[in-house]
Amino acid sequence: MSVLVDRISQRAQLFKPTEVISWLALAFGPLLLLSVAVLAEDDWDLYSQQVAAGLATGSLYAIIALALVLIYRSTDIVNFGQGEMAMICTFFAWSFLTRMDLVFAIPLTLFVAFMMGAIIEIVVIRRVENAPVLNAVIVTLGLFVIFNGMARWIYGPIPRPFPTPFDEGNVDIGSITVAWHSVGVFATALCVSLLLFLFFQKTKLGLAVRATAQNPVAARLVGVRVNRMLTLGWGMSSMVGALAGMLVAHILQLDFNFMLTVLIFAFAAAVLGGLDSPAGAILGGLLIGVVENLAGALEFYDIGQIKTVVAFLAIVTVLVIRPSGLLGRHGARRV
Amino acid sequence: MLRQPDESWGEWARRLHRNDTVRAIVTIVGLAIFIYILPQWSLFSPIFRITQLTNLAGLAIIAIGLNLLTGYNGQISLGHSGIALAGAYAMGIAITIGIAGVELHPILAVLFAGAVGAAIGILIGIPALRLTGPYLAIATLALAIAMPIILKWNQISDVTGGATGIQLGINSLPPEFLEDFVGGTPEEQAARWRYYVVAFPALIMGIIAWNLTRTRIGRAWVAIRDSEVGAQQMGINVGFYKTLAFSISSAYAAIGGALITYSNLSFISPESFTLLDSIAYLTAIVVGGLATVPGAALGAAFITFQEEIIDWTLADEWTFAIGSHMLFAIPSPLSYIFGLIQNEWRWEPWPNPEPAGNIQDLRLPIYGLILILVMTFMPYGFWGFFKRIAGWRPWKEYGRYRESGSAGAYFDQRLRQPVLDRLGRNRGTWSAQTPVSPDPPLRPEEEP
Repeated sequence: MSVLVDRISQRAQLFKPTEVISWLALAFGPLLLLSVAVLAEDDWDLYSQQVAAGLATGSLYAIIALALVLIYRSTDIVNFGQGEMAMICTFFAWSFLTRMDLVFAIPLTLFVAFMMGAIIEIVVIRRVENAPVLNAVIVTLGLFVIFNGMARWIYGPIPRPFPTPFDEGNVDIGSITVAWHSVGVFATALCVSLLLFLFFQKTKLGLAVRATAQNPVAARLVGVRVNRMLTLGWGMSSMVGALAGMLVAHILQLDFNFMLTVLIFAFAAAVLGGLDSPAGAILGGLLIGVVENLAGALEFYDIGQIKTVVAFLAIVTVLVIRPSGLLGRHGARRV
Repeated sequence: MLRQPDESWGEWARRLHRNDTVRAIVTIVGLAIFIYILPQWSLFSPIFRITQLTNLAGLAIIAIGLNLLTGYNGQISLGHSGIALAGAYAMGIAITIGIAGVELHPILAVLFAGAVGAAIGILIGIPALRLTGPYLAIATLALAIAMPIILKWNQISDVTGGATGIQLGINSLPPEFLEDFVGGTPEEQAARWRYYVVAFPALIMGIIAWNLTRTRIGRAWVAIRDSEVGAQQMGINVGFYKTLAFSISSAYAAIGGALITYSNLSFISPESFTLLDSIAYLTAIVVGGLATVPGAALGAAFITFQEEIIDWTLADEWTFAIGSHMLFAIPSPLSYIFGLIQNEWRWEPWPNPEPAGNIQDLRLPIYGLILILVMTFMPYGFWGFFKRIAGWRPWKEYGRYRESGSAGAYFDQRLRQPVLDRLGRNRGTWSAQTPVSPDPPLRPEEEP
């Protein structure tokens, strides 16, 4: 174990100053450009409202991106089924809510989600661990399709409202109005990210999980129970996904498709921030949200109409300059 | 001619394949099925079936192109639906508005679409040189998301037609000298002609791709996929060949998109090809068999027919029919069981049940289950499975290559078998033969 500790702690050294400058420039360059463009219309209220709305949607992207990062960090697989797993867990939460209070339903759902993720890893994913990587991708696509169809079959196509654990009202900050729920999502994203960071960097179990993702053979040689770590990774990521699903469902209404668009942006956020960095997921999610909303406010050349393109253009530009994301420590090792 | 007792099925097939007479017969029979029986023998081909085959051919073109990129060169792309859309629009604009004032003939328009696709491929391929794995997947996914939005952009809507798209107004009737050959009622004639228009390019492009993978270019792609550093050491221009893969693959996608549009949609809209199509292409090549040309076609067939087969499975009655001649129908046990689960045994998750879904919603879960089962039990897809059961490679060898992490390694092993010369000396492998020294002169007693 100690050899491994040494190796990983060498990797975990602080960022070099040049790196910090480069990612600051990359992350805030597009933001600065768009801000100047929007502020050229001399409408400070519009600008701040757009930024606030961007932060609100961005924190939704960020919290699902966290779940993706978690799975990638512990099993090296990008899980296309993440959104749908979260969706069906949210449906479970809705079922629980008809029988109990939200305070009990949320922990129960998280437990069920953990078990579900763990069982999926044991039953399905373990069979394709040694296969080519694209096979695992297709299997997660299969999970996506299965959960989507099952949710529709069991719960039907009608969208449902979902309650929030936070205050229903709004809060006024200066000239802008934000829902308490958005503030809560933002805070939850930061808390979960911090907890994950502490788990991965400061606990022995987190170290073992990281070691498993980096080199399963070596990890097994130093006594890490590789299979259990993988199961743990899937369970935890399913849990974070379910939490995200319950928070998103309040905004978008509970529906068997409500995760689709969010998932695409969450992917983009996870990749933008670096697929192995929880802090990067938060940063990426917020950046995408703000950039998209600011671009949406631009009038000239109808840029507001293609705001998604602007957001993705920014992502691709960042990726070309930093191929492993803003905060990613090393490039992908497998295709 | 008969299979020898010590010969596996695959060895027998290969021995037959070397026989010129057998090859000629197989080719003629195959072409006859392709040209005459599939589209024209009415027992197998009501119009909807011909249309399905047309879609299959178009999908196969795109899948084969994607396989050149993802299977042979190891670069994943989720953006091929965007490129297919661009190809479809390029063809539509070339036909209706014209390029520089000249309205192109549809054949030229399809070729123009291919050129546009290749150009887009180069534009994406160059930045893609720095990206791998999931990062490349997201960068290309951006294209699939962005292309429909860009095409709807008000600034260019006088060319692209905005959200409504372009009305093509093509008549899909054969030229006069082929009318008698195609035959049938006017609707049948139109459907058959569309089949020929898509299926022949598909056949030709499949053959081109198959040959391409066996040339210097294909070898370079495979070498880059297996080890970029190793390929560079061997003097391969990695950047050039990776960009080339992107551009050729994109040309395939654009031509495929143009042909699909030409054949079964009289109009193009920005929603004609979406991200879901991209995912379907990726699924097709992985399920069919990565880094194989026939595998891509098989995967396209899987994608085309899965919906119908699953629907048939879920129907209340299983009807066995050939063409339009229905034979018999039996009540489906599956439908009975699903009905029980849904109506009798289902856990009621809420006090006041709202209307739930119907049994057709189970199509998606079954599709997903098939995907998972195929990937679990046929890791190298349908074509790999076919090769295995044909005994082209014995099971033992198949296991040996399982660990290498690359489907291509399994299929390429044939090229790594030693090449023996006339005197039984090892000349290295097919792809890397050792320099041939002049053979020693034969002694008189060895003369035949």
